[in-house]
Amino acid sequence: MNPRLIAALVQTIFPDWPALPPADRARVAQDTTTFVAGQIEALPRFLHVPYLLGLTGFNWLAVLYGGRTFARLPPPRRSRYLRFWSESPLGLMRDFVKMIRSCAVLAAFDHPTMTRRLEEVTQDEREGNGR
Amino acid sequence: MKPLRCEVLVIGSGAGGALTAAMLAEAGRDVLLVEEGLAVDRPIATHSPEAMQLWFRNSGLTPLLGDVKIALVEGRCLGGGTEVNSAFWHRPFPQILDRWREEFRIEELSEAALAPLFEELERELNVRTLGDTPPPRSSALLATGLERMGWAYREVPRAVSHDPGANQYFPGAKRSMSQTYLPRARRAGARLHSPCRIERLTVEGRRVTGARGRSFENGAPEPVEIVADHVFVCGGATQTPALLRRSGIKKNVGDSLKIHPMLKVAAEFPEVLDSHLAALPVYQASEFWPDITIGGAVYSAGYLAMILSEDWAERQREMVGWHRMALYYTACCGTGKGRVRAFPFTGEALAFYSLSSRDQQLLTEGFRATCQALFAAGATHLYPALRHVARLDTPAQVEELTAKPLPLNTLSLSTVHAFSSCPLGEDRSRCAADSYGRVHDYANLFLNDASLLPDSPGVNPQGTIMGLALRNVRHFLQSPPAQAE
Repeated sequence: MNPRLIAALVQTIFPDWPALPPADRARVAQDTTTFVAGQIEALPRFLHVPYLLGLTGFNWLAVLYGGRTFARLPPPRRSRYLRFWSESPLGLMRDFVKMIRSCAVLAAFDHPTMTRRLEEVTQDEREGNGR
Repeated sequence: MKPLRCEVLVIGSGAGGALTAAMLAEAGRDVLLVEEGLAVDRPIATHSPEAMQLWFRNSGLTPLLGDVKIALVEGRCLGGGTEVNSAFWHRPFPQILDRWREEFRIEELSEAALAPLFEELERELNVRTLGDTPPPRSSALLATGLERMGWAYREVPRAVSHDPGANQYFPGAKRSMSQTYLPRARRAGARLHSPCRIERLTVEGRRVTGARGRSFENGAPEPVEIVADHVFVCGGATQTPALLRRSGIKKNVGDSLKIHPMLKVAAEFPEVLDSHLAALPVYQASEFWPDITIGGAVYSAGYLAMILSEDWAERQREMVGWHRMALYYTACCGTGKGRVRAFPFTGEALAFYSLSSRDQQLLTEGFRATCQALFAAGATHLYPALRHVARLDTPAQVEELTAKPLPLNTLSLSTVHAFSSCPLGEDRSRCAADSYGRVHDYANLFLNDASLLPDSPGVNPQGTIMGLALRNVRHFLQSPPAQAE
């Protein structure tokens, strides 16, 4: 597995809200990347190899799209390329992205640092509600 | 390699296996129980990402392949699914038992015959309702919406610990197998071998002589051989048929998998709910049972994000309202065609399920009813797990969306209920095992788990699985040794 590619995918999916201090963001993104890589490793073996091939295809087909592999594309082009796959008429391409995206958002938003931040940024409203 | 010897080998420690091992050991049998998963022994929420990687099969990523890919979530741990489920407890509907008895020709299956067994199980598992404890706010809102629609609903009893203040998401809070039948089995002398994965049964003619597998008790895998007089396979709806098929036992095995397909929706309310801090949802709409169930789902910001991620670029901004949201689901009594095979070379369970047109219709009706109830409860916006449907703001939009069955390619489905891959009954044209779980044509091979259910029970299946398992193991203990046919 290409860790740089997984990290690039996670960075592209990583939420803009709530804003995290840079160090926290880096830690949550790193833990999310580790989780996503672990999930790919845990796929049943009959899916694992096809998925790794899919990752390689995803990375290199970006050359046709933006002249570089996905991991080397600038962030705005990464987002557009990922969206192209997410909205593809081919179910296989959509399913490929869906698996990584679901794992990434789950791990990011259920990270303890993120949960604390979510509670902080909504604290006023939650306290106003008698909490 | 010196083989392990036992009188009865029980493979799998979930709702069926743990109960089977306890009953056999307490009856004085020499029992060896093997489980491939780890013990649930860390103080982390059982739905957290960390728990997924520790205690779920394939870290929670088991796909059911078919026209719509469905995420099957299965426990793989000591205690099986009972450690990671919501511990909802239903007795099977009498009309379903009657239909199973007639269609599958199952002996002595009726509400009256099972009633004393359920009473016994419910005492052991402390099955109860909340009593004076108020329900979580998300459940109260669902109840309000259902009342306003004029639909019946119920608080579903659960198998919970004796500490009413325990956070039900954490290990030890439920009366799962690790809190009940596994300790009983061990106290009665059953030996436990875990983690240990059984790869195939050893078969001589029409008798099973034991099993071979790999033990991970010391970290690195070591081959294991077990010699047994009787074998109970209790690996669940996907693993039981895969093991049997790997062992060359294939008649009606893995040909009839059924599930409860589930479609989720996130609802935003004007008030703060803080659903991530709340207890498990408790109410289900009973109005549409057994065809359709509506209820509240486990909530966290991560689970909400997964629903919204169907259109992440557009919908991630909706996370701003995470503290005013809760998750709900509709599930239907699946009638589609499913099957389980052992994948060539690796032997892993490969499961397929094709939604029937009735599944599609029921999911559409259930989704419509769920949305109507949530709007009636005061929800301001709904975010369904549907591709190309960003947000629903009015009941009229729901009506328009569900005027025709929801298109298959928009559905994002999951399931936590799988069963019926090796149905029991005397109808040999469709059943893998007899009326009490003995595999047809094998004198000493028994099944005792979710795979035996003839088809969908329409509600959370743990009660039905355990009721049948207790009935079957009691029958085994009372019967003289059977001869192969």
